Amino acid sequence: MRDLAKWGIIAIAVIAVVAGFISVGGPQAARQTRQDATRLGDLNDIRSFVECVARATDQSVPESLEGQDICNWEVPFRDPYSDVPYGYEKLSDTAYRLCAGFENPQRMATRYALPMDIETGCITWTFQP
Amino acid sequence: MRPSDQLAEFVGNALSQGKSRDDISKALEDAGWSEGETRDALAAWSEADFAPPVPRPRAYVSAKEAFAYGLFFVSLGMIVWHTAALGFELINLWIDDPNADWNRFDEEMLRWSIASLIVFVPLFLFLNLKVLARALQDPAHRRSAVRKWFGYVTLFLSALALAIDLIIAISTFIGGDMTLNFLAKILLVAVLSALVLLYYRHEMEDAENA
Repeated sequence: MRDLAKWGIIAIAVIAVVAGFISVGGPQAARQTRQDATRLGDLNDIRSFVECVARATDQSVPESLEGQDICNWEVPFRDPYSDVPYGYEKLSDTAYRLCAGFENPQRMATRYALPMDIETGCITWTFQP
Repeated sequence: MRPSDQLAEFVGNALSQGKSRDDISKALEDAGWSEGETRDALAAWSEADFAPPVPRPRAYVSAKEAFAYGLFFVSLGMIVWHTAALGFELINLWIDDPNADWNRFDEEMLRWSIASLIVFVPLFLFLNLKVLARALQDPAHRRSAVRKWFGYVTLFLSALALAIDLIIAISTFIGGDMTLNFLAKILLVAVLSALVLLYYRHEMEDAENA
């Protein structure tokens, strides 16, 4: 009975460790997840920037991210790991799309429940005036 | 001198002067010692007819044992804690919680728990092996007061954990917030604390009967 209880605890612990490894992966996967989190953070910063510009002008999102001197704060326009600029596209007066080269877009989209296109790594957001 | 030491010395002296056990126990009861205390004090000396009276083996406290059982206690605690923490993260990952605004899955936390388990599971098994081997070699170790203390503290904590787990389950159920995510966590804690309870109950039975 005592041994049963002891091995029961050990078995649950070992199963949890194996399941944990399978779900988060090794060092490589962890690095990718961390970089993806930075990219998502950057996109969120750009989103704030875009909506600030829209609020400050005619309630429509800008044509491009460049040349805006209204909301003048530090915005990370480039992917710090690949040095490629993040993609921005105006879809309508209020809808716009932000893109980043996510390593694992599927994981990001499900974990943060993002309106993301898995193929392109683009997120479509709408500005609400 | 502590009262228990005084008592032991008195019983030893009385026995070596040839007083009968009945007389000694009557004298002690007249002096106000309880029946249990009297019985324990007399049981500390062997009934063999030998002078001076022979002491029976008693529980003792040693620093070396405190080290082994303390480490064993902490290992088990870490294993149970981190298995529960790891299980919670996996449950968050696998089962959506409709009550949460965002997914509470925390990868950092999960890695920390994995690392802790990788260290403490082998340590626990190693210590378990050492302690078992020593108990087989010398039955005095099974009587160890340190072992009993750590054992009963563990029993106390696991019983408390199980009770609190039940309270949380009932109050959540009454509150209408019982989700699959929550139920899975409640069950995990219940199973873990029940296993610890079971393990130490048998462990303490063994210690009491030694």
